[in-house]
Amino acid sequence: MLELANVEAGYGKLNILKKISLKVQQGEIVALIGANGAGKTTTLKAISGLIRTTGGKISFLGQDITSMASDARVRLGISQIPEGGKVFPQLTIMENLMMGAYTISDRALIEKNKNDVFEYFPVLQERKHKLAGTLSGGQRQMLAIGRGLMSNPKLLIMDEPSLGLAPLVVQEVAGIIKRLQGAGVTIMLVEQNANMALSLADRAYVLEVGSISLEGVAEELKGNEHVKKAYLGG
Amino acid sequence: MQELINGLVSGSIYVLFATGLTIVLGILDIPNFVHGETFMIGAFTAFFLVAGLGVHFILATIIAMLIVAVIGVVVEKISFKPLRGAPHVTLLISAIAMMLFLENLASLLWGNYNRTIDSPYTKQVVSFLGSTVSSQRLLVVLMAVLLIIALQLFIKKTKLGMAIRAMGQNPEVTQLMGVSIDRLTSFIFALSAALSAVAGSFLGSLFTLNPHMGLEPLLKGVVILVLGGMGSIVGAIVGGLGLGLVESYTAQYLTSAFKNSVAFLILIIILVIKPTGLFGQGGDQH
Ligand SMILES: Nc1ncnc2c1ncn2[C@@H]1O[C@H](COP(=O)(O)OP(=O)(O)OP(=O)(O)O)[C@@H](O)[C@H]1O
Ligand SMILES: [Mg+2]
Repeated sequence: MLELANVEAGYGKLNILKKISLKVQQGEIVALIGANGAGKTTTLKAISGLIRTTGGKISFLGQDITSMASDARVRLGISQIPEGGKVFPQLTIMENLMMGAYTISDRALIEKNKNDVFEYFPVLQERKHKLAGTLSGGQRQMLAIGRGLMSNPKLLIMDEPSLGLAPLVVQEVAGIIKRLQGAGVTIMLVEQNANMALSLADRAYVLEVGSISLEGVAEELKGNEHVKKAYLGG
Repeated sequence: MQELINGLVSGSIYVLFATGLTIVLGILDIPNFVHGETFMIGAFTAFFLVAGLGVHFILATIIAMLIVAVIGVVVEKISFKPLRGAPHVTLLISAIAMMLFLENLASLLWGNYNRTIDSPYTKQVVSFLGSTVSSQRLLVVLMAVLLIIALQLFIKKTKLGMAIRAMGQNPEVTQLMGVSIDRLTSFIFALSAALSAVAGSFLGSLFTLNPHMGLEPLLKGVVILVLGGMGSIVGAIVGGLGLGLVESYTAQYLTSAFKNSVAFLILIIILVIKPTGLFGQGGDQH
C-alpha cells in the first residue's frame, strides 16, 4: 500500500534520512520504533509531503507520490496524526473535527465519521463546543486521533500517540488502534514506547540515526537482544 | 460633532487598511509593507474606471478590489513565496524593494500630481447626528462597517474562514488536514489587498490620490497594529477608529499641523508602556 524506496530527506542542507526503505501492506499495523531524534517524525513528514525528499521514491496505492502536494496525499487517503496531540487550541472541538474532514464535501459522510469519533471518544461529544485548548493532554490526544479519522483515511499514520499519556489512557488508545484495524484501516504506528508498539503491530522497523537498522515480524523483534536492550528497557 | 464625524470617516479607512495588514501578519506571519502600494493602486484603478470609463463609483471600487486582489497574489508570489521561512528582516527588505518599485512605476506612469475620484454622492448632503454631512462620507463609514461585519462572519462561520484561523495557529498541522497552503496563502493575500484597495478608493474619493499616497497609511497602519496588538482584527478595528478620532480632535483642539505626528507619538508611548499592544497577548503567536 505504502512503499518508501531509498528515501532521503532533511531540513535545508541538513540530511537526516539516509536511504530509508520500508513497506506497509493493506490491513497491517506496522510499527516504526526509534530513539529520540532518530528521524521518525522526519520520515512521517516526508510521507505526508510536509518536507521534500532529496532522493528515492515514495509510492502509495501503486501511485508515485514523491513530488505530490501534501493536500493531494490527504485526498488519496493518507492521514497523519502529528506528535504531541497537536490540536488547534483556539478552535472548538467540533471545529477541530471539521478541519479533519476538510477534504470531504459529502455532509452525510462527515456526519457518520463524526458519530464514529464520538462513539470512540464520548468525552469529546460532551465538550464539543469548548475550545480545544481547554482539554487535558490525554483528551487532546484523543481529539487529534478523532480528527485524523474524519478524513476517512486508508492509511492512518500516528506519531507517538502514547507520549505523555497515563497508562490507562495508553491502554484505551491501544484498544482503539485494534478496533480501527478491524474496521479496515491500515496503520503506521510510530513510537519510542516500543512495548506498546510491538504488542500491537504485525511487523516493525527500527530506525537508528536516519537508517533502518532492523526489520521483521513484531513478535520476533520483541525477542531480539538489541531491541530488548535499547527499546524495551533491558 | 464635526470632529466626531471626521474621526469616524478617517477611522473607517484606517480600519479597512489595518485589517488587511493585520490578517497577513497574524495568519501568515508576514510583515507586508507592500500594503500601502496596493492601497495606492486601488485608488488609481478606481480613479481611471470612473474618470476614463465613466463607471459608477461603487462599481469602480468593487472592480478595483478584484483587480488589486490579483495584484496582491502576484506580489506574494514574487516578494514572499521564494523567501518562505526566512526571518522577518529578510521579508521586510524584500517588501520594501517591491514597495519602492511600485511607487516609482506609478509615478512614471501616472505623474506626480493629485487627483480626486468623482462620486455622485460627494455633492449630496444628509443630516446625521445633528450635522450636515456629505453622503459620500456617510457611504464610506457604512461600507466600512458592512465590510468588516462580512469579514468577521466569513472568518467565524465558513469552512474557508475556519481553515484561515487554523493556519494562524499551526500551518504545518493545517497542511496535514489536506489544506493547500499555497492556495490559502494566495487567498489571504487577495483578501488583504482587496481591503487595501477599498481603503484607497475611499480615501481618493474624499481627499486626493497620487503615487506616493501609500507610505503614510502604511506607517499609521503599523502604529494601529502596535496599538491593537499584532494580528488581531478587533485590535485593528479599535486601533483604527481610535487613531481616526484622536487625529480629528488633535486637529480641532490643538493644531492641524500636529495631526499626522500624533500617531507616532502614540507609537512611542505604547512601546514604552505596553509593548504587546492593548489587545495583544504577547506578540507573535508562532
Ligand atoms: N525543523 C527542523 N529543522 C532542522 N532540524 C530538525 C528539524 N526537525 C527535526 N530536526 C532534526 O532532525 C533529527 C530527527 O528529528 P525527528 O524529529 O525526525 O526525530 P524523532 O525520531 O521523531 O524524535 P522524537 O522521538 O524525539 O520525536 C533530529 O536531529 C532533529 O534535531
Ligand atoms: Mg518525533
